[in-house]
Amino acid sequence: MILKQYLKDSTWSILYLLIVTLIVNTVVILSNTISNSIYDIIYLNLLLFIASLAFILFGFYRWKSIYKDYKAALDRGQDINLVVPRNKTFEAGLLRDTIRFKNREFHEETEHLRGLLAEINEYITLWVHEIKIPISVCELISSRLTENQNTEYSGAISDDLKMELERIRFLVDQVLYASRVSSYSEDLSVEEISLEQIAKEVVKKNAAFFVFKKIAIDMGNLDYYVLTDQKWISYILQQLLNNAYKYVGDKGKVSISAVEDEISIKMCIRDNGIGIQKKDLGRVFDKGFTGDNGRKTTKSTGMGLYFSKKMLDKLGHDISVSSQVNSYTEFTITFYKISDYLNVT
Amino acid sequence: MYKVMIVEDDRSLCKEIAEGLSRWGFITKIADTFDDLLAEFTQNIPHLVLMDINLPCFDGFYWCRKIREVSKVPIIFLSSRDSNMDIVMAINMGGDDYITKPFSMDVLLAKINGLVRRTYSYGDESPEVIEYKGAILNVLNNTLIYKDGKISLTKNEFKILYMLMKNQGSIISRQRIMRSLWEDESFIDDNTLTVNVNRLRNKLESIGLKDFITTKKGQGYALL
Repeated sequence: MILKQYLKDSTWSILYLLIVTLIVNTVVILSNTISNSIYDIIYLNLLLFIASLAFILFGFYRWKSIYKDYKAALDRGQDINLVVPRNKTFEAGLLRDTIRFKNREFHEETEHLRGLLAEINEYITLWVHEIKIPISVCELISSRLTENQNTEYSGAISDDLKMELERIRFLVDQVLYASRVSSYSEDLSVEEISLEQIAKEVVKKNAAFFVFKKIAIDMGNLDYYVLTDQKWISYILQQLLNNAYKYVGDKGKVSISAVEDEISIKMCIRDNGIGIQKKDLGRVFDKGFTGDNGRKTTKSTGMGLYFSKKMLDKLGHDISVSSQVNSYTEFTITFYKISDYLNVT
Repeated sequence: MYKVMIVEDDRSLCKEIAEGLSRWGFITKIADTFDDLLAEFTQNIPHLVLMDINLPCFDGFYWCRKIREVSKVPIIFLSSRDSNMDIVMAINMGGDDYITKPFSMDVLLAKINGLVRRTYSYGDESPEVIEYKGAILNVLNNTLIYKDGKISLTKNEFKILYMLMKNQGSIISRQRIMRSLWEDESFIDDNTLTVNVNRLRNKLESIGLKDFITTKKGQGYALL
């Protein structure tokens, strides 16, 4: 909002003032009726100049006061809707109308996209529920196979089948949760939850994976209660355990433990797997990032941790990772205590 | 014999559940029509109802309420919907339990048995002992009696022996034993299972049951 800009904008007015001054001067000099001493002419010009300057400065001041806030908000990228010029000038009106028009246009566009997203989400939810029925049937068939072992191999077949069904179930759940995390209406219910109970449930649910790969589970002290959404946290734990399962080799071991400090309760999931390289460590929560490990195992979408992080952010928890190649990977979920929330604000 | 009515519109799932339940001594009745379930219910009067939520015509909540108007029969909801809202609704409409799909037959059976036991308090029909070749396993106090000897078993040892005795003659894989132990929240690893089985064998030997458990290499354990 500088004077130069204003002067540039009012070139025509300034030109007009100059021409008027010129005409007045010419008339005065050429006329004999008035005693045209040089001092009178200088005096006249001085008066005209001061009057013009006053008008220009006043105009500049007015112009500045109209647009100052608006320009500042625009430069700083703040919400311009609150500081739109309220003056009755034509330009200000035009600005207002344009903003209103554009706002409505974007609003409609957003609503449209939101509708499409909701439609897709709805379809995904229905589809997931639909696919769970044949999965259930397969599960029952596999348990029928377990019980009527006609041949020597049917037991092994049933074990393998169960394992694959677990994988399908996990992946199908992932789709459902991914669609929920990006939807506008999550069904969240935050309550006090025992870490021990939730960890046991998740381990039980994924027993097939661990038993199949002979991975030992070590449960440390988990006697803590945290405020969170049960379904989401168990999904996230499942995701972390699934990662651990994917990246541990023989003699795999996964330990789950928790510690408490003044402001938070931290839950650690540690495996003795291949680890994550230092250069990849900062990016594991990025969307679609698979890293060297993901490329090696070729089963990684790079989405699991991204969604987990996104959801933990929404719940107000933190997640961090530390690792040493060929030694361990440890994910830490930090549940902040409620008093801390109050202190922050 | 208890009669279970299955209300589920997916035929293959119905068939599998019915088959699974009939193996455990339940009589099953699969609902044929979904426009008048109440009539079908009153004609059959089952001891327990398995109810899906997504049904043609009216949904499971509606039929649950309808059944509740005439009967206090236990109703278990069986649905792939897993939102908190659905579960709360199901229980409020008069459901006794809620199982989400996919589920395992073991969980379904456990819930059905639990509800039937509580509702009809049969107790006496469930076997408290299992017998195999003269060895008697007492389910209530985790002890095994053979001839004059008596041994008490730890939780894991009992569970392993129980599985083997219940499935007499067939091979139980190590994976299956472990999954079942994990189900009871003892998250043992492969080595611990071996240790447990060996300890169980020593205990069995101490009362004269030598080679009671047979190892099938690469397949698992069996009582043959």
